[in-house]
Amino acid sequence: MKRFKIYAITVCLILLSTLILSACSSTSNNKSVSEPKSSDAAVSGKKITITYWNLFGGGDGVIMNEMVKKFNDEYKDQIEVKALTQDWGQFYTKLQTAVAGGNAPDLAISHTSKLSELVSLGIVEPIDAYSESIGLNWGDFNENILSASIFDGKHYAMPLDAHPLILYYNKKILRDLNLLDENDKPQIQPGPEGFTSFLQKIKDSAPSGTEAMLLPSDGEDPYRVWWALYNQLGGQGVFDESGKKVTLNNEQGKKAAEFVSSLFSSGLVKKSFPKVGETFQAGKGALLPTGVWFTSTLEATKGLEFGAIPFPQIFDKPATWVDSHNFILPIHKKGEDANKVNAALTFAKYITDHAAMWSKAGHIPASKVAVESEEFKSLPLRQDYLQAGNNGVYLPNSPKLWPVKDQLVQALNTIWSGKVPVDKGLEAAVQTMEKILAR
Amino acid sequence: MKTAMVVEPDLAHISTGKRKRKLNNELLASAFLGPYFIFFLVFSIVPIFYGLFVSLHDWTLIGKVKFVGLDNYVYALQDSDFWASLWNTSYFVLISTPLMIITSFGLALILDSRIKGRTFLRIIFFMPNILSVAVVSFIWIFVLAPYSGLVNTVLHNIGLLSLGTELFWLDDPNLAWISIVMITLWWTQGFNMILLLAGLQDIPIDHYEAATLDGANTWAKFKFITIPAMRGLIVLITVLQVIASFKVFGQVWLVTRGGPGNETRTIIQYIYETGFTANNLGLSTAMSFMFFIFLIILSFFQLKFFGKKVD
Repeated sequence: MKRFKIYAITVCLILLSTLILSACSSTSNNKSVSEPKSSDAAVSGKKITITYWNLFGGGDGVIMNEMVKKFNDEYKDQIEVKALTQDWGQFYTKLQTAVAGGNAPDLAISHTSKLSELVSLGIVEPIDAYSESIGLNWGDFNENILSASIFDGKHYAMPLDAHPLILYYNKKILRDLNLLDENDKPQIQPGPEGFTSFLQKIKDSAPSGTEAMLLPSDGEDPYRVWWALYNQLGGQGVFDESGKKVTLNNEQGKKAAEFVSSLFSSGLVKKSFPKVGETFQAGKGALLPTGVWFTSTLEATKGLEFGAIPFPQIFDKPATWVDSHNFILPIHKKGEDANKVNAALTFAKYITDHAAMWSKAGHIPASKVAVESEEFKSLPLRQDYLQAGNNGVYLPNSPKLWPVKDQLVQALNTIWSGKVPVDKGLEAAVQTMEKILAR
Repeated sequence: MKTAMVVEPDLAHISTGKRKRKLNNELLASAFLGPYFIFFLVFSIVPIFYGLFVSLHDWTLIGKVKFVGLDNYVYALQDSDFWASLWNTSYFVLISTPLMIITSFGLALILDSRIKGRTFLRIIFFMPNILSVAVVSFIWIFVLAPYSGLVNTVLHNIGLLSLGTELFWLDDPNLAWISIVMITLWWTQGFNMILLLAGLQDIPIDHYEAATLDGANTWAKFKFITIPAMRGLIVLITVLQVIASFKVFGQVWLVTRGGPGNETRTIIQYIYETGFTANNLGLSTAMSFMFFIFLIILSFFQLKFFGKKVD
């Protein structure tokens, strides 16, 4: 009797909790965006507090927090921005669950390469409806950077920066080898042979313990170099029109992969070299291809005399890998509060306008206002980065871009390690990528 | 739940004193068990059933998309990557488990013998066990690094590896597995060692004394006294070890990220990537369930075949 009762209650509890839990989280993602409504709390004159999530750690994070503080001081009685830095690895997971749970921040950061996933999930709101009220002129943004953030003709994001792949070089090492021109730029001859012979010269005559070029043979950086070369060769995107077929295993893709692979197999670049960045900081490497975000770290390194140029043109036309940070408006399930949205966008516009400060971290401002400011012009190296930003090629849009790219990186790793020939490796990449796209 | 049990006055009234005491004991026991049971229910049982519900849907981080029935299971069954990562995990279990047991047993025997500095050795052998997976992984990434790592440098210095060649411990598929097994062994054997040491110390000393009087040598004593006495414990440790090894994830993720290629991708990593990178929680839950069933079947057979021999 009694036991039966316990069981009955237990079963009821289980069923009940299942119901409650599923009710909580079963939100369809195609809900329409409700009309913005003003809340009573935000009558003009009253201070508006907004939450802002970003993923900036390290040097980036310090600079972003300074900018938030500066904004809060300037808009003392009107807007207060509460910035929250989330862990890089968990950022997008948290953002999506926050939107699903109805606790979305008022403003968030998204990479351009992640935007199409967020847009297709329906968790980002277009900005167009508000751009007039905060005095936003889309013409103020760099076209290359801005166009990557437009979907179906709508502006889903306000671009903050661009961070292309560039080439850092150690001035002291190259000067000692007589490889710098009068402007302290490396004298790299055109063409693939020009680049490899430049590396060969460093390798032959640099003091022992100095690496000609530091490039890890796995992970993102060699893939970024490959992407740069693929586009220099005129490679066309990643997907066909259906978005389900991967077109990378073509002539350009192979040629680019063969070039990167030859750098490792010829020994010009050491395979699996550990701690590439630290080695360059220690002055033990002549060249280092990586993103502009490494600039502030290198500038803070004592005793390192370095320069940076856009990633060199090795093949037919200049091109490099690039991605951007953007401000986005996550959707609020309870409907948008127009005052908060305006406050959030006012802050976003302030940061993009003042992105000269942001470019201390190395990033290129997306806003022309920031690029033309005296503050930006006075920063070293950044003028050179501008060109890299214009030549940068974004990955094409796909709602599965990140998982697909992860598989591409894994497959390329096997090519760089020399275990798999180029065509087999690219074929494997296409297979695993198409598998994810088919789901 | 507690209130439901208190409301039984009639029953309590008619019962004899003995029955009453028994009931009181039961009430007391459920009062103590109750809080745990609620947590168990909310955080273990409910999620399992909820997971079953999720696995029948197309589900993203945002929430439910649509009901798809058994499609996720069918997809997983036909997914070569699912089987490949399940094989990777099994491969790891197959090589690591015997090594793990033998090493732990060997070390326990050393500690059980009356050699000098036993306490010191015991600390040394057990020490890695207290480190977290992140610490262990990063220590080994340094140690196994080519060009500057400890292992390659030592191999160069003693002449086993010619200068100018490097072993890529983490970038070569075969070496990567050896590295992962080595790391796991170094990290986790201490726990088994302590269990086995306790077992060894439980064997009555007079058994050995009697054997010595009968003229048995060390090997005979080991074979006819130590091994039979330890069999039950070894079976238990093997079962626990196999289940723990199947759940391998942390050190592989941190050291090789499942690379090179997807050569060392474990089933847990694949489930994680499917759920949180490819944003396909329904499919990843279905895979978890299949893995769960696989483990249940495995444990069943283990207990059936090994369990019989236990006295």
